[in-house]
Amino acid sequence: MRPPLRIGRADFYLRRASGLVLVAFFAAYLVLLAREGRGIWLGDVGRSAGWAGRALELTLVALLTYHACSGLAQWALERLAPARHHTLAFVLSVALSAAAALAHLPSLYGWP
Amino acid sequence: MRLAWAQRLSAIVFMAAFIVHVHWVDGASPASHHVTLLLAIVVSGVVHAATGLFVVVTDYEARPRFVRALAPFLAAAAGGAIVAAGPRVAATDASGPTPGHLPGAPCAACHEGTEGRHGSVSLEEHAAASVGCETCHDVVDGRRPLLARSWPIETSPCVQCHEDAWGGFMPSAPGAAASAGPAASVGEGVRPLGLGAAQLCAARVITAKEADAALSRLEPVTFDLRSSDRERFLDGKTRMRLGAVTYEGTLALELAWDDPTDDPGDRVDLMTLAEVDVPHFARLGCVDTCHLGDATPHRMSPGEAASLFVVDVARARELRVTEAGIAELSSAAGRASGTLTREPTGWRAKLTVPLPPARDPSGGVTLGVSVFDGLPKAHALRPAPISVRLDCAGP
Repeated sequence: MRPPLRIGRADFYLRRASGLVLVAFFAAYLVLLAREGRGIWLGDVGRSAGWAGRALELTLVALLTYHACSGLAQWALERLAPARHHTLAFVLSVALSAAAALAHLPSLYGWP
Repeated sequence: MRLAWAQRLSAIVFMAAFIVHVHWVDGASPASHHVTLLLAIVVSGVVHAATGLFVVVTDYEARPRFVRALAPFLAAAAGGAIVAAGPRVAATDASGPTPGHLPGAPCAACHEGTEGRHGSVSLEEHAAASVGCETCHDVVDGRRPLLARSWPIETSPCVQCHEDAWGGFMPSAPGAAASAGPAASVGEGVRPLGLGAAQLCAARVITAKEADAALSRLEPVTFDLRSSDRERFLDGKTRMRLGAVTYEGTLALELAWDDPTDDPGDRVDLMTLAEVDVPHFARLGCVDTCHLGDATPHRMSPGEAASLFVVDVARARELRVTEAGIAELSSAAGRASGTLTREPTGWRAKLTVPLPPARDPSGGVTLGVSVFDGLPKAHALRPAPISVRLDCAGP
């Protein structure tokens, strides 16, 4: 199942790696929700844990966005077939994940 | 193939529910919205993670077909188990406070061990004011603290009794001037500001040594800290004297207040705020804006009374001054230092703190101050912010 192209392989491994990180975080979220009833993102980690928390939250936003975009691109590629579209999907996923992380930056400093 | 579809469908449900929950549902939304979306997030997330992990581990073709056939059922069972073992929530009657800790209330059946306190919140006093569990929680199974209920400030049950807190950091709030009491007495370099807020001039000196001497020469601004506890604080108030100087990017403060008894837990809390109008306060109210930690015992060490857990005031900064030194409760640049010493009739705190980079519109610093007496704590606070000007000539 490994894609033949280098860029496709990068996307393949990045999607899986981001998925594993998100699974670990989601598990922590579920445990926290069950034990303490606290909300999403470990209880506003980005706003209460300083620069490290903000970096963590932005990273998670970027990973989640990349993971979702990459999955959608995979779905599209299965229908469009040409392998070279891996490059476009990869670039778009990376760009969207970076944009999503930056778009969330102001909210971590209290700007609506 | 069905496994792939389960994975993809759950991903779409997860992302949709997640985005809606994060961006369009907040503490002021009906509890049913929270419950529906959280259930969708949990179930779809578990299904997606389980099927995804299955794909990663088996790479689709590495296991016999019957294992793949079982996977969606295993994922669904895992999700169901987590949901069943996790919190169960439901909306309760939101028409008004239901005193959960009054005699016969179901909450007390499982929460007798709270010994009358829920974090730093006194249950007896709140029950006496008809504020009970359901006032703040939409919990029905009584097992876990869930879904703190937001009250817009206009209808908040908090300000029915804590009208002083309404004025504490919200000078634009209606009634703040009336609740703030008399303005600070006017001393050298001090004049009253609108809405009852005190304005203090921090004289500028050159060195730390000069700062100590200048603080002893300055006539401090004097004001009352108000409390709803009329037993621990005589007539529900105590008198504070506050002086300030600046030097080399540092704000040096001397605070003295009356407290006839030397009790464990006596301390002063000082908060510097970049802005006195806190975003979202009107919509989310006291608890969701700042005081979520007041009723959360598990965040506190034994014997410690956390007075504030900053949720949404990203630039707020709080210092706690005890005999052990100064602790910063929220992130800030630089470190504070200082001492708390016992005097015959009260306490005196001397502290230095790096000038916060965030300033109010006049270029000064806004302070909130409260003092604590004993454990469990009783506190008195200045019912209006203190604006410290930083451009004053030395004494």
